Amino acid sequence: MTCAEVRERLDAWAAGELDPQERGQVADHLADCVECRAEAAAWMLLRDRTADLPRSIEPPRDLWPDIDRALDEPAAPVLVRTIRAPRLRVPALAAAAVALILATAAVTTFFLRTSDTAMARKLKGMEPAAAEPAALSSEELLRALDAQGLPPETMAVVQRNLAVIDVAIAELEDALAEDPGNEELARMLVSTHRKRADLIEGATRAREES
Amino acid sequence: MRVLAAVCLALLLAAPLAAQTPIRRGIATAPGGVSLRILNLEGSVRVVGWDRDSIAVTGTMEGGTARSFYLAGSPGGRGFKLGVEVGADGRPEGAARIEVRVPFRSSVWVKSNGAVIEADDVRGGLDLYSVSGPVRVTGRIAQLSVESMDGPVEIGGASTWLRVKTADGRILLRGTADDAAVSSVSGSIVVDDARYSRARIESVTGGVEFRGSVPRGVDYSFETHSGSVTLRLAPDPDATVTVTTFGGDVRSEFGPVPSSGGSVRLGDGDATVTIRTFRGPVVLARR
Repeated sequence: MTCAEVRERLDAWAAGELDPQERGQVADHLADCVECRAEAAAWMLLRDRTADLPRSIEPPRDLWPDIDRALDEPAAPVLVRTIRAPRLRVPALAAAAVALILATAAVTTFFLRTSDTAMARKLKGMEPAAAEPAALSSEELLRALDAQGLPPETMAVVQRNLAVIDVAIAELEDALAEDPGNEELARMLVSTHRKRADLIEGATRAREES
Repeated sequence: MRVLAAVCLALLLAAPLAAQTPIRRGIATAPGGVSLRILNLEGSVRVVGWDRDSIAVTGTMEGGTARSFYLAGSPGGRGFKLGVEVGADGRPEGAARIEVRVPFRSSVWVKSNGAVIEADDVRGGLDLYSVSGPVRVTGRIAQLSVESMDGPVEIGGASTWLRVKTADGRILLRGTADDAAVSSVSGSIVVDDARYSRARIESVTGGVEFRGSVPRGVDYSFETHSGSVTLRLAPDPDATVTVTTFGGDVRSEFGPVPSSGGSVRLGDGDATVTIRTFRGPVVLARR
């Protein structure tokens, strides 16, 4: 299969909807193609993220009776009001900005790491440092969080758990380097990266105000 | 001398009482549930649903002034905020111990640092965040989301949609949910007689233990990196169990279970149970 053919099928592949023959062909291609493997990881992340969404959301109440009643009422004179945008405190803005940066960084890290740096080095002759240029290390993430003014005890929890996750990711990446086509390993790697992103996101909420 | 001692004792006992400000606030709301945001970083928050169109807050506050505690919103409205003011340094002006009564179908957001959060019968939605304080939820809740860094989380009651995330905090799950996704980095997760239609339970190094029955038609998955996965199943389960582990031992009281993605069918195999670990041990035992 070509890259284009594989990418047309990744949606169905991530959903487990391919027949065994196509599934095998996609797996063979992914074992050799680092770009398609990154694309596949993105589909798996999307699938996992959407699995978290509620299947349906019940409205808190039936809105139609109020709307219907309002439609029957005589039209009120039109008033033009100036609505002032709500003021956000600087810390809230800063927290939002850092949350966005960290979330983006986590996704960047995810794409780079799941593209299997060991395989990238082997395929492209890249040096280890060049293989993951933009990935934020845990030290960089911790520095960014520290700059947010997180309390030391919260920083300690994040630091401890980032270290735990980093060990797990390293072990999974090593295992994937040995067995690049293993979908279960790839699934676990995606899941572990998701926990890393969740941890950072959770830490940024510590500075969030109501 | 005795009189002096008695006076000193009375002063010592009275000092903490004098530092506590009583809180007693209330406001009428629109019928049918409201949106309420509670910020109380230290102390405790207990949120209870009730069958009235009003919010009532009772409790005490240590530290701060009378203005440190706020309840904001228009009488008869749908959106409200309450809590203890936070200074520019990020520290709360006081620690409140409050019970908040809200209309049953409300959606409530609570944030604490070390404060205990408890919620009971808030039937709309709950979004609870704690850094280190314990979180306990009971009663009927439509949508429940709990996130804690290292505080323990205990969930009972019934919800349609349940999400729990912790870093270090241990998680204890009881009750029921249609759809549950629970994860921790290094905290343990215990599922004790809970019943879900679909559940995804994950940790990195924390152990996962499931105790109870696997009802027909459910879909449960358990995943750890190095934490153990222990399923203590009620006798005669009807489930297809698939175990994938790369370095963990597998022990089963239900006969041999292949550890490389093979399945074992228990009873008529109607429910689906998937277990994945990288190197965490897997135990399938009878309860």
